[in-house]
Amino acid sequence: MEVNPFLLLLLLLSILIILWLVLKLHRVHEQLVVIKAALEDINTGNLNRRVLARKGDMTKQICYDINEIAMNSQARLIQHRQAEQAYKRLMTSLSHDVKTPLASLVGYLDAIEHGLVDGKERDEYIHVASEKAYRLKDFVTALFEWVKLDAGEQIFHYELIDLNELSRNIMADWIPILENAGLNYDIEIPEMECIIRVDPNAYTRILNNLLQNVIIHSNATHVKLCITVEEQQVGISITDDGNGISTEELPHIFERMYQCDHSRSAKGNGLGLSIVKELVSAHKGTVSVESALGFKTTFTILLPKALP
Amino acid sequence: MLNLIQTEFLKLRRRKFVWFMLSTSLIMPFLALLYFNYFGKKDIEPMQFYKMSAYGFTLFIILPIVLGMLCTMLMREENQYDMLKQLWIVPVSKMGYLLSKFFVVFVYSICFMLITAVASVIFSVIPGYVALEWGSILNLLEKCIIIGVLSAFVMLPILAIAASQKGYILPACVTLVYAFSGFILMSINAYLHPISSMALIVICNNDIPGVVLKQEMNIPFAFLCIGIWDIVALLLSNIALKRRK
Amino acid sequence: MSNFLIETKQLTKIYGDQTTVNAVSIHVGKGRIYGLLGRNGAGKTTIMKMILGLTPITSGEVKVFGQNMKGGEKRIYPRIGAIIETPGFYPNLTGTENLEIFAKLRGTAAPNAVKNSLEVVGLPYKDKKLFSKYSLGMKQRLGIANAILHDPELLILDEPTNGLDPIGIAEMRKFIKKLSVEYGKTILISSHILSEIALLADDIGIIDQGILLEESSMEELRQKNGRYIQVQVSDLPKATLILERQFGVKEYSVQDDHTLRLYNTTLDMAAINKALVMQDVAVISSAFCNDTLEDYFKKITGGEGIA
Repeated sequence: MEVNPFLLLLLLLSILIILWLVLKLHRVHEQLVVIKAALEDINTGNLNRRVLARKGDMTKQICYDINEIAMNSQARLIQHRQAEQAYKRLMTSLSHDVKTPLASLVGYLDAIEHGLVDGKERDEYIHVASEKAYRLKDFVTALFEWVKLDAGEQIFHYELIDLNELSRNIMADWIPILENAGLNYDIEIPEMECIIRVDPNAYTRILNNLLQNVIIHSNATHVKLCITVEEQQVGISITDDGNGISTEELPHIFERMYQCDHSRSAKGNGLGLSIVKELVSAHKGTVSVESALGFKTTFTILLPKALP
Repeated sequence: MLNLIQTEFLKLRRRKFVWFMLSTSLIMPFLALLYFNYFGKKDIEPMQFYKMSAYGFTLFIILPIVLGMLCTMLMREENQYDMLKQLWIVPVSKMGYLLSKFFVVFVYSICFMLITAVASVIFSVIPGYVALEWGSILNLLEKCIIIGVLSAFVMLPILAIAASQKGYILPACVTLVYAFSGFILMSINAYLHPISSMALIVICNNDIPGVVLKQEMNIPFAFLCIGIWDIVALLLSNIALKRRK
Repeated sequence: MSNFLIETKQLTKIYGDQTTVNAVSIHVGKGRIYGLLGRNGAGKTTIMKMILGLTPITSGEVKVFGQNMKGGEKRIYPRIGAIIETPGFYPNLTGTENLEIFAKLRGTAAPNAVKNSLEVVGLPYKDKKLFSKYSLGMKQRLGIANAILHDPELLILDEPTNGLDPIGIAEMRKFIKKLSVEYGKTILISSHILSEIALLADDIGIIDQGILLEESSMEELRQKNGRYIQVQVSDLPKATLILERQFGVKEYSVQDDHTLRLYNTTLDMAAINKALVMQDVAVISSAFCNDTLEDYFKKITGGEGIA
């Protein structure tokens, strides 16, 4: 029997093509099984599940789309959960931070009311009690400010302003306070104009909080404010030669309610630096800190010159 | 599987030595050129020239050693840099891994023999030793491709040894012993060794002049020999890879 | 289904006559960072290898995503990203080419996964530099990039900060934290440095000589450990008044309606108790807590501590 070699070749070729198609189909089937399992998993709430696809897969686009949907819902869920957690943390720390001064305030007032003290001592008690009440009031004010910032409800009024001039004015108010606190100071602000868009109130608040921080926490003898103007950004750094912050504490200091000494009684309220951080990021800037324990601490703020 | 093979070739980027080894395929055609140049003969039988340039030492010594080195290099890299762990958790199956390496050796071996064939033709026809003749060239190509394909299978035991060893000294030594023992066994009992079995398959048409076989030709036996060696090698390497992890 | 992504039961590994891992049962909860803390050679890497099925288990059981690893590799591995020991790559390829190999083998979750994951770890995309020219820090980063290439749910990182400089370590820490907090990944991480784990982990398992000495949440440990005196009194405001006026105590905090924590541990508690009782404040209990985390670990490992 004569076999046409041409037909034989054709047969071989079609068998190969069929084989290839079967393999392809098998791959698609495999992928569909994987996709089904992943969708079931995602459906039960595991938004971290991804379907992997290779460059040549037929189901590639479907897989990528499923992943994107899962990723987006996951991002939203996490944002939501974070806000919830922040709120919870706020409530617990709030109760702690208000309870401590309140308990002692009640202690003083009880003593006065029950006539345990009299004369000069009584006046002193009243003085201490009112001081404590004021501190509580300051704390609550700061807390509200922070909550507003955190929730993004604060409205900023940006103005084109000479940052160097503004800083000089702020420092002018601080000089007597620094002197009273027994601090030497160095202020290096360039003479030239540096026009950038900031909210002057917010900026004042940033410097105030940082300087207050130095006075309250650092036990420093010297503080230095230095402004450097670069092409793209302005750097404002505040350096003190006080206690410093240990490397363990360093990553946490911008978290609200974090105080290095762990005691809630001390003078600060644990909100100053987190307010600074929120304000700076509202200006699209960054704030960072470097510290050598027992030696010095530097806070550096970088504000972009371009419009925020 | 296709992806695995593709990545195997990606891994060879910038490995100059691998490409350099391909150039050793030119050695025998060149030596054949020198040899016939020395005798100054003209109009040599094409088979005579090709026998020297493509079938002789290329088949018995050069190609096995080059492929043995390639196997060792392919396996050693991932062992040395501790990459296997990362591959297993992709996951890549042990068999798929071994087969993808084998495929590289397979393609490399065919390329090697094709270069030899082309070089043989060029070195013989251009200086005018051999008349350009399509029949003999096609025959040469056919034989080279057979050698290329079979060599890859013949070298599978070396690939298996390279896969089960961390170092490169043992596989390299075994390659040498393997190649030379094949050469020696050719005249004793060719069906014991894959290389000599392959040589039998190549010369089965009895169209190579000057080769006299003492033994009876038995082609299925030769295939059986290669097949048994390969299956044993695959089984052993699979066990070794599973154990090593 | 339980909420543990990794669960081991009585996991044991014996090499020859040496027991490197002894009946370890760890539980890695979903969405948490689990820190495996122990000295070098304590068995951390072996545990991770056994979880990943990279080394045979002598006895015990491992469940990942609630399934047995054996037989489920094809379904489980694509959901895990891991670096075990120092990750190796092909020295003759660039970082991008190396990752593309893995992207091809494994598949990715997004079209530009290689570029993204390189960006995330701070390595340049399509750089000409070969892996063999990489510094140790860059190698480690590439390892991380490979581990997150397919956006896995679970990350198993063995000493990821090994060989990094202090700035690199801080960056890595921030990055791992971000993966957990912002992307909800579950992470099992090992380290021999206490401070690193303390900063990072939600849960902690302490391994010493192959034995799991303790498994607990970081929060619990922090609660338990610190330097303070806890006093329970009947009349809290009055107690604070006495403390402030008579003893000049300023560093304290109110825990609840009857509990106070004093942070100055050098106080003369006998005198304070007496003064409180004298003024009709009943002291219900007073406990002295003088353990920092370091002290605690020293105690638990019965020796020189961990780092």
